Amino acid sequence: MNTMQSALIKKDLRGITANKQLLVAMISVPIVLTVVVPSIFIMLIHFMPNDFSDFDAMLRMLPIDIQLDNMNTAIISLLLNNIMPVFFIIIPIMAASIMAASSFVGEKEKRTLETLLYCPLSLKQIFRAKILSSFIMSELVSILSFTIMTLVTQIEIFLTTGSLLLPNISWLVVLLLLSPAVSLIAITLIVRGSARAQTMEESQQRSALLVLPVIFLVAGQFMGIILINIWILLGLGALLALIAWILMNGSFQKISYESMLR
Amino acid sequence: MKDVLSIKGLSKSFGTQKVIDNLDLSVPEGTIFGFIGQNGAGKTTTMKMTLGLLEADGGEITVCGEAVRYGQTKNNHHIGYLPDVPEFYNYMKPLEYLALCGEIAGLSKSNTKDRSDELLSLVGLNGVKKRIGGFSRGMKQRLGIAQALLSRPKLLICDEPTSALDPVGRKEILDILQKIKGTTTVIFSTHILSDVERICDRVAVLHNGNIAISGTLSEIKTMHGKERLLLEFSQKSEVSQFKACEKIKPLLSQTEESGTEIILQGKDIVHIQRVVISVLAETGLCPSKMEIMESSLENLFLEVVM
Ligand SMILES: Nc1ncnc2c1ncn2[C@@H]1O[C@H](COP(=O)(O)OP(=O)(O)OP(=O)(O)O)[C@@H](O)[C@H]1O
Ligand SMILES: [Mg+2]
Repeated sequence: MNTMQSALIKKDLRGITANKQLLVAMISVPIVLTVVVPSIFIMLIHFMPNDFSDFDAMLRMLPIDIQLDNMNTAIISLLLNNIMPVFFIIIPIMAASIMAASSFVGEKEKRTLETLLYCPLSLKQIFRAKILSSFIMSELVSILSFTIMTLVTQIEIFLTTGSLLLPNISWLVVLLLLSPAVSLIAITLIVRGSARAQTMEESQQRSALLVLPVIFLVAGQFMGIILINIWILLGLGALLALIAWILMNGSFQKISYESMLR
Repeated sequence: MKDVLSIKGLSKSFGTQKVIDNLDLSVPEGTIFGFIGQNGAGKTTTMKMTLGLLEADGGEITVCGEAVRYGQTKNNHHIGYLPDVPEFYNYMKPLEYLALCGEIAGLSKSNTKDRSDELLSLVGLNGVKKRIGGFSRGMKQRLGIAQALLSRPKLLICDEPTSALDPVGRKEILDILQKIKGTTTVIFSTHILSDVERICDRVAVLHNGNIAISGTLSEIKTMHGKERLLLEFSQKSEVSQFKACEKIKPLLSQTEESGTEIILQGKDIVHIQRVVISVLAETGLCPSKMEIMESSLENLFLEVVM
């Protein structure tokens, strides 16, 4: 990374904050998923604990290694450590897609890319910088969301149960492996499509498809079919990281000046 | 004079359409070079190949003695480029945008700042605090020139910088180009021929994929131009009487006639003048108007292209 590339990265990050619509999406989706949803859940458990007997079946399958004093804590732990991580796959996909679509296809669409293309940086250097800026953005959003979620839920849990219930070790795998890997995959899909895509919306829709398998994962979780333990998580994370790596290297072959100027 | 840009045997096709066909072109240092061609003649295509952004099918392009290769934009520090429709980040202000361009081009911060101030006053945008989103087309075009000149290129390539502008905006751009003439060689493509006549030293007309005519303006006019002699009589019968004369008949092969006017043309205007005057003296006809029409670039262009 040289100073010319970091100038590009700074510009890309600044560009997203200058676009009100994108910024609102970038902030509101994570807040709804990681603050509003768990808060509602925690409140419901506190005020109407009897409605949660349906979770019995699921709870019995949990490989529970913490001392559970009661049902409520078990449900909250399920929420915090098994359901919330799924959102940390959705959030980086969303953040990375918005950012990459605006930085690759959006610049092509608005014809500002032309100026970047004839600067003394090579096409690869420009694309690396742009991939990195999307990646930085999505990591930033994920980590901020995690911090805020943890703060808010811990306060709520403390107020309702009188003790804390800290996130378990699988979060480390989710935040350090899984969500970076899926955000890279989302970025690469957009980069690969950027030569063909003419509008930003078009290219965002393509990567929205990535969310589909995640939804199956969530459904599976709720039905108790797949219960993800840390080893499955690690394996999944490693596989996704490998896919991301292969896709990214392949995407450099797909782009050329001619295809980006059309 | 050294050539800043030289193109030899350049070819480019899009699918089956041959856009550039064995094109040769050289642009001497210090000139303002008019690159003329109809819509779709391949002006933009040639320029993009010069910048290494489009792959040529064959031929050689050298800029300041260095060969241009597709995909290698390193040489572009010699070239400033103003695209046909320059677009910018609308949320930025002009100084901020130039600072970004300076960073991307690898200039130092202080160097960029000084140069930006200098260039913004050259293009008349100094003190403009508006965001670029609120700029008129003329202002964007001028900011584009400032950006293109930022790293002090030897060659400035402008793709139809005046085509979308009103007469005032056009004059502003032409004045700027004239001002930088001493330090930068300028190529600009256009189909507005009056702009070319106003500021260009040399021109080349691109037609059917190669250069149909090129040279300095006066060279072209004397080489290719036919001078024309216009005669206007007061009555139509006088025109017929004039044409009926034996001596004038050999000169009538290329005349244009409308109403009481007749235009004679040919390579040797002095000969035509002599014959006409002697015919007039013999017949006693007296035209109400007689004038030599200078051949315009417009006529030349139409002749080449039609
Ligand atoms: N990427 C492309 N793919 C296919 N055809 C193209 C492409 N770019 C240009 N052409 C074709 O090549 C021809 C020359 O285009 P070019 O843009 O170079 O012309 P121009 O002289 O700049 O015209 P204008 O005055 O309209 O700007 C046109 O017929 C155009 O349709
Ligand atoms: Mg053009």
